[in-house]
Amino acid sequence: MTTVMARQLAVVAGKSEILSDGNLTARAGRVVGLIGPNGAGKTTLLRAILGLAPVARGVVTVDGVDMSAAPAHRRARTLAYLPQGGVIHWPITVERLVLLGRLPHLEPWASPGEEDRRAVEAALAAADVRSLCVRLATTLSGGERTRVLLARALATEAPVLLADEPVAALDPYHQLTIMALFRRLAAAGRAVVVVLHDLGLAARYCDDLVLIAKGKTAACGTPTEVLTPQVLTEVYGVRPLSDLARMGLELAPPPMN
Amino acid sequence: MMDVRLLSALGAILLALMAGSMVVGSATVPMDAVLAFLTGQAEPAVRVVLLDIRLPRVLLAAVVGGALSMAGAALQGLMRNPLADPGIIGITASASLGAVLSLYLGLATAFSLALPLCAIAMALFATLCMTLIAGRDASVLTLVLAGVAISSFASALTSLVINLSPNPFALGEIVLWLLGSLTNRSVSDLLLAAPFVIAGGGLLLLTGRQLDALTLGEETAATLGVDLKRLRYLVVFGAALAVGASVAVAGSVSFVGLIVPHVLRPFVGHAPSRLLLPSALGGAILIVFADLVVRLTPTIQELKLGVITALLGAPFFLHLLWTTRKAMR
Repeated sequence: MTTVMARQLAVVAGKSEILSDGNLTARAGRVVGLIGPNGAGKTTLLRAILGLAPVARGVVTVDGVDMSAAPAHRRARTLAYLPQGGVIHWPITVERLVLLGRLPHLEPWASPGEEDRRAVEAALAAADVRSLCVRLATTLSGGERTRVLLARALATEAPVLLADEPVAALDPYHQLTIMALFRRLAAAGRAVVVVLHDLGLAARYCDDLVLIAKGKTAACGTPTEVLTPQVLTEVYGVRPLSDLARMGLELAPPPMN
Repeated sequence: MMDVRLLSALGAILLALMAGSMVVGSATVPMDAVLAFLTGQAEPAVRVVLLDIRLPRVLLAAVVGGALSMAGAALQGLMRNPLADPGIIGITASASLGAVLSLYLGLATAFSLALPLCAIAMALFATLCMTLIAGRDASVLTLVLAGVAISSFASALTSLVINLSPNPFALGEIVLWLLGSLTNRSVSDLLLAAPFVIAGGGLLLLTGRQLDALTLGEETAATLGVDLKRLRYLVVFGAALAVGASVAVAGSVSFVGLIVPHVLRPFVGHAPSRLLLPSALGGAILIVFADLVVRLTPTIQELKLGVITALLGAPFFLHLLWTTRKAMR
């Protein structure tokens, strides 16, 4: 059972500290929602965990092993990343795109083998994109594209998936499909961390929430523990119209002064 | 499977073109004389024409075309931009500056290897400058802008050298050299360029799989275990070696690295890794063919190879710019 822990992560960009105290725990079988206002440091926290942003302080461990010392391919086999608004630069086929996820497993000159084909097949099935296999990746719709890029991340067979705002540009139907997919992935034993802006989705689909505000982890726990009226007002500047525990989350702008 | 077929088709075309280039020229060598040469029973005059004049020229055309085109394919993969070309990151302009300087200072007349060595040295110097400007974690944008800056500066210095050139003879030589040509190249030119081109090509071939990963952008490639810094160095140094050596012996032959990878890309499913070797063969075909056209065109002044490729390449570049602008976002 994989457990990812980020403790007191700090990231400095130029002279300002864009993340000063990032904490997060993700366990196999659970979906963690990473929430917070724009510019709070959610993406920076993910990037620090992935080793993409230089970490000034703090530590990231996977099952107790410090990831900063781990070689690149080891890290690549452990943490899969679905970046925000993922780009596809060349019109390659979906199958070939998903196969790129096998890179951390391939020896320098070896061509993909039976195990790689099986992993790609499983990833295509899990993301429900088997039918898109021969399509060119640059001709897909937004929903298809997200699922194909997700399949690419799953093809790494990494036990941890970090997804940065995967549903931000999608319509409600595709938002719900993708969130349900994350739940299935967690049920299959992965640890999933997903950055979300829609607090309703976060409350509904996540086991735990981590709230980032001004570069710090301000709260973590179950959705009902984190999304209190007080937190919503303080951090987001909105007030809840409904009671989360009973009828989901309905938000309104704060009253005008 | 498709790659093997494509590579053998390109290889066959290249061999046929090279054989054809051996036969035709200002002095006609009949086919049976070529066959006699192959069996080692040729007349001395035929031997000289084939072995000392035509063979080096044809081989050099293939080497130069392959180098420029493969460098283009690798740079396009690195920058995820079909418009990138050895010219873009300033290698061609800097190598030209090195060569022009050696002509201006008279080094080239004093010591025949000075011309190629200066060109290679400047290409490497430009690449080093660029890696310094671009810093440790340069984005592609920084790389391109640094290339533009270096390229403009090298061109300006080249113009300055031409401007200051007191000797009309040296001036004529510089201008002719800048046009790009393979006329009167010898075995020694070939021996000087080929090792650098092969070394550069070898470095570029190491990058295939990482270039594929860059299809997903730099950050995702990094999370797949790709060492971006190492990749950038490999491509930039590989391209500098191959292009510097080519420019040294053939002058400025432009747009080959742009045209060939673009034409071949659909045949390899747009995957950067699978484009490298076919591009090398395709570039060799294009330059051997263009040089054949140059030699067969009955003009009083021999047409320059660089002029032909630029005439072909510039409209192609505009066309590419037009379609890319429409297709991309």
